[in-house]
Amino acid sequence: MNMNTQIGAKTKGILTTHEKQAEETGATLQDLLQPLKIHLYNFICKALNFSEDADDLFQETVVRAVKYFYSYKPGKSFKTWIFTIAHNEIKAYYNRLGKSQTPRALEEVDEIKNPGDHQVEQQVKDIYEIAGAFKPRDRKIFFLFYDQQFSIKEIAAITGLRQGNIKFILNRCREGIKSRLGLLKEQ
Amino acid sequence: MKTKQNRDDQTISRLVQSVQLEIPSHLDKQVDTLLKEKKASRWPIRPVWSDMRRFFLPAAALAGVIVLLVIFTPLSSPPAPQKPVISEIRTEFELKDKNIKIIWFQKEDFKLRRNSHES
Repeated sequence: MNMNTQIGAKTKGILTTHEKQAEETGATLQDLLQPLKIHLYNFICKALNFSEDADDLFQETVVRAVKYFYSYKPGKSFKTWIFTIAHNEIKAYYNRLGKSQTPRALEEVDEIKNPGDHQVEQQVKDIYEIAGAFKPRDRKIFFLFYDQQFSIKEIAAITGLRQGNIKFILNRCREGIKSRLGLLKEQ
Repeated sequence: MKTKQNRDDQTISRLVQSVQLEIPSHLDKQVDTLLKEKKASRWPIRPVWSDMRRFFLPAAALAGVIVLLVIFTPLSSPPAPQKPVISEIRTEFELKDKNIKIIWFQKEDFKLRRNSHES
């Protein structure tokens, strides 16, 4: 498993450089999706708590993107559009699953390793453990904000929630991490 | 307070982003194959049905109006225009020097007979 510290491209409601280029050249869905695939896959994996079903859901997201690509309006952020599909797929997955699902701990995913010193590694594991205990909806918002670097406005567009609710959820997640780890005080 | 929050956010982001999974090769291939097969173009043609749906309701409403018009429009020929009937005869006299104006009204129920003395 490769560790990559590269931060996902910030869209902030505007088109990324790649999307602008794609717009100008009349790129296909494949061209638009190519640089986002890794981010999309990571988001689905993390939102699903590293479940094995993430692969199927990722594939299903792409299938839906192909099916409904006609509804994508040129000039809008493709990243927001594709993540909205992923969000809906995850939501439908959890609806099917019901409340019987149990979050899968990070330790079970052996392939995940962390660079750097042992303390940072432990902090990463702890954060993912805490995130795994979040409600599915909160976890999605948490990873959209902290992992995929979406703005509050974009998350509102993706999830259909109000910006105030998203801020509240993020604050609750932040406080949860702070209270359970106290790691942020040490930073 | 805001700066502290931003610092917290940055720290969490950094830790969260330090874990990045790679797409399994078989899944990546499957997705690529799917995209190539579909050949989804940048500006694909919308399904015909999605365009037709927009016109379905107005077309149905128009058809309904036409049907109602056909049903309630009398099939017989339009009535022939009525002959003008004298309903009133008005006769005025004015005596200007005496400032008198006399007006007669002959209403419909007042039958006019040309030669009443003959009958």
